[in-house]
Amino acid sequence: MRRFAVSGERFAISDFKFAIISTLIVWILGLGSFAQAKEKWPGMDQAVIEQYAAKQGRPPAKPLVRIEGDALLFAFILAGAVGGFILGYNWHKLFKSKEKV
Amino acid sequence: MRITRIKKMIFFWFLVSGFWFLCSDAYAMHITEGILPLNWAIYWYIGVTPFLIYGVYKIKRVQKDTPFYLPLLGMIASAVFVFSSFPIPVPITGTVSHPVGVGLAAIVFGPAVACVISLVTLLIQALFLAHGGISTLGANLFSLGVVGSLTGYVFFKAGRIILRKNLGFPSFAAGFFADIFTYFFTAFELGLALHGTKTVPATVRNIFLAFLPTQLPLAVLEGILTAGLIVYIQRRRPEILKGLRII
Repeated sequence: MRRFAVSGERFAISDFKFAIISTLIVWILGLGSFAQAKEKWPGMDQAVIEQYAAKQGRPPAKPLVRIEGDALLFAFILAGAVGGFILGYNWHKLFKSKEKV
Repeated sequence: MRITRIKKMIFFWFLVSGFWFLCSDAYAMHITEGILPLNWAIYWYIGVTPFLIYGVYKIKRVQKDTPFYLPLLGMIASAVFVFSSFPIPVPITGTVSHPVGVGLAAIVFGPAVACVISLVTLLIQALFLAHGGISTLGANLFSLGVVGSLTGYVFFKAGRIILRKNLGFPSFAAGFFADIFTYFFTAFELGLALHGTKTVPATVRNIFLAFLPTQLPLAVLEGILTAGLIVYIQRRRPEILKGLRII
């Protein structure tokens, strides 16, 4: 346990939680150090696969269904929400409901 | 009191993950549309077909006698979808990548069903999320659904034989190695199709080494997530794991 005091009020957190919080803080601070980079946070597809394929004369083609810009953000949010809903619904059915299946 | 705190943490986790979804389009192990020559695209489609047929047959067979099978399938499939669409920035490299999730599916349902789950995931991503492609679906499915799941399954089973009562560490190994081998095989597919004047092993090595710095920390994260979920199921409803002959 690690003990802290803020404005005279004492509280304690376990070493495990302390380790997780510290890692998260370091991770988030680390993100900031790359914010000035010219190419911001490319995915591995762009950084590795597409670059290599382009060198070999096979640049990527446009996707069959072209969803770009904010529409793509909407698609991601929608997919995340639907995926999360299905996950939560079945999790509730399996672990929370009084009449478990 | 403790449960309320856990609920709050889960809510916070989903909130943060929602923001991550907002921050970036996720791209990682997917071979983008048009990159593979047609002969290789067809080759991987043919290679993956038997696994899919057996996976669908297994789902139909097992779900008849197992009441919790379909809700569990829905839960794990959506978890795989969310994991593999989840862009995580890695500060060390300044790039973004994602876990694959098939290690978890392979432990619970076996590699063939994990391959069917991967098909659904990759198809949605290719059609609606500009993620992968239809011509490269066979290749992406082979690396994720066949190689990733088989690796996860083999490491889990081997871990269970060596450690017997321990469930967490074999699950960690399954998640970790499923992730790493998926990327290794993606490098292998690219190396086979696009090695140019270089040798295939040299090309595969170069691409895989470019993947590793970003993917290694994510593979560790994926191992922890997989182990956490399997241990959670064991503690809350061990009969699920017993019913599927996992323990």
